Amino acid sequence: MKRVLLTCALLAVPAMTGAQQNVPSGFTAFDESAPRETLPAAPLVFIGYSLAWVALAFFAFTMWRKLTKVEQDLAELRRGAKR
Amino acid sequence: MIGILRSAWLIAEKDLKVESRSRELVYTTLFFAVTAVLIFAFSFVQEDSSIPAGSASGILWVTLTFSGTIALTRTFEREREHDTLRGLLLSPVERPAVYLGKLMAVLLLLAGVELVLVPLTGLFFQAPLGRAPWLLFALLATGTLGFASVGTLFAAMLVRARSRDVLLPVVLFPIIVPVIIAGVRGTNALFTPETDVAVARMWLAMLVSFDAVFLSLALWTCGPLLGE
Amino acid sequence: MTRTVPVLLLVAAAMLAASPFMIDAAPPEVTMGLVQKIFYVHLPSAMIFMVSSVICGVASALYLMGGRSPKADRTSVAAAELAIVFGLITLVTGPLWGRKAWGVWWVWDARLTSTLVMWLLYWSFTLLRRFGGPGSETLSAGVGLFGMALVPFVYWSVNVWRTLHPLTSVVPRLPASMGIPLWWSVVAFMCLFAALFLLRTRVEKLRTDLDAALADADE
Repeated sequence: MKRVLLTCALLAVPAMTGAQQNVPSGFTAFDESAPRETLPAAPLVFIGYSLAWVALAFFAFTMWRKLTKVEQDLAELRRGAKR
Repeated sequence: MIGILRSAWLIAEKDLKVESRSRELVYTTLFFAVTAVLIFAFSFVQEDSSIPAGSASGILWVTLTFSGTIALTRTFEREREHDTLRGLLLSPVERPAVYLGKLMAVLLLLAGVELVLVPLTGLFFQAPLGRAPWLLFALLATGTLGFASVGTLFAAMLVRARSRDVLLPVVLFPIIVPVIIAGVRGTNALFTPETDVAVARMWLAMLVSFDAVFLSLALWTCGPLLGE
Repeated sequence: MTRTVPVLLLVAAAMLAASPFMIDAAPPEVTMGLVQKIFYVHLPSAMIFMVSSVICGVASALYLMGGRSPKADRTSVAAAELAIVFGLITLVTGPLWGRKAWGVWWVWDARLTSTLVMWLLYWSFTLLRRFGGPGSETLSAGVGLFGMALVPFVYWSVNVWRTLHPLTSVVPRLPASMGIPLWWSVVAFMCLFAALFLLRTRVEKLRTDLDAALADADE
């Protein structure tokens, strides 16, 4: 157990130092004066939020179904074993 | 420690002896590598015989990755066919020795493939191999070691799994992404007209640290992973 | 345990229901306007993705080196699947934001690429579990452990290339008007993550119980 925690701590060190070496460049020059497409932003935002909702709802729904099925199977098996 | 290394060498020697009789792995892997480079040549060499900048390094490392994966799959498939891996694991040899032995054998095989592959790629894609040969050698050596250290472990642990042929690339490729990035960018820094030795050295340093971390991790986990 | 899940879901739902109002009330960001609102879904998802990755890595290490406990195994499986879900949200909302803000769908910057590679790793974990046959608990724990060690390397190697991603310090320097809806979203997502995580581990536990019961019934 101690070995495990020690290793995790050791692995975390390069991870943290790595993360701190962030190349600080922020946003690159998004040339304001250059002609660029004016995309309507609303559809993108809408798609983004909808997708998040759909993905999470789908996962929750699938898990709920699996849970009820496994619970059913288990109950059936236990009932069968009692007889 | 010496005991482990000695046992490992014995295991590697056994593999080399077996291989030297049939030479199956060397021939098939080499042939695969050569035909792969040829396919890349057809894909990338333009009508006017020009080659997109940076293709040589990319193609070299992609071919190495795929040939290496095939070599690993085949090496352990052979063990599985004759059920020799179980014998090896049952013998009074420590797990790290088994791992190191297989690793040495795989490294020697890949080194042999690279001896042909690198000059061939240089020839087809006009890569200046002679510009910084030692640095190129170092990049290839550390990159191959990084690839093989993780690959040997994963291939060994998958020996008894189902769908192992396709699962090896599936689990291996994400892990070796840094090796590929460093290998390609480092080699490219040597091949470009404005050779940048400093950049190549930086990628070499990354490869060395990757090798150190993952080789240690493999040695530490090979016991539980190589299992019963 | 079975009561915690609905409670968490309710809390998350309530918070998420309130969030559009808070997000709307937050001022639009100067250069990016409306599309920056995606940030309130993108950043919490990215954070949860990282949290889930760490949980998977630690659980894998505990499983492999600490005695093969079924609990550690269940934890790593659930964390890997949730990492896939939240990683997917991050990887889709990111480019949606990027298309408007930077003009391109995809850029090879450190964070997006590292996220993609780690996302693929959790796919390989899950595929290994599904198709590896018996004994794949140990194998996937190996993948999870190696994956955790991989993170700094992937990040560093991609980071040497030019990065377009905003500075991490964007978050602390946010004005309170933007900070509050952000942290609200983060907490809501965390509740959702916890609920889904508990749900998933419960499914896994029952599944192993079922397998064991079936094996007993056969004897």
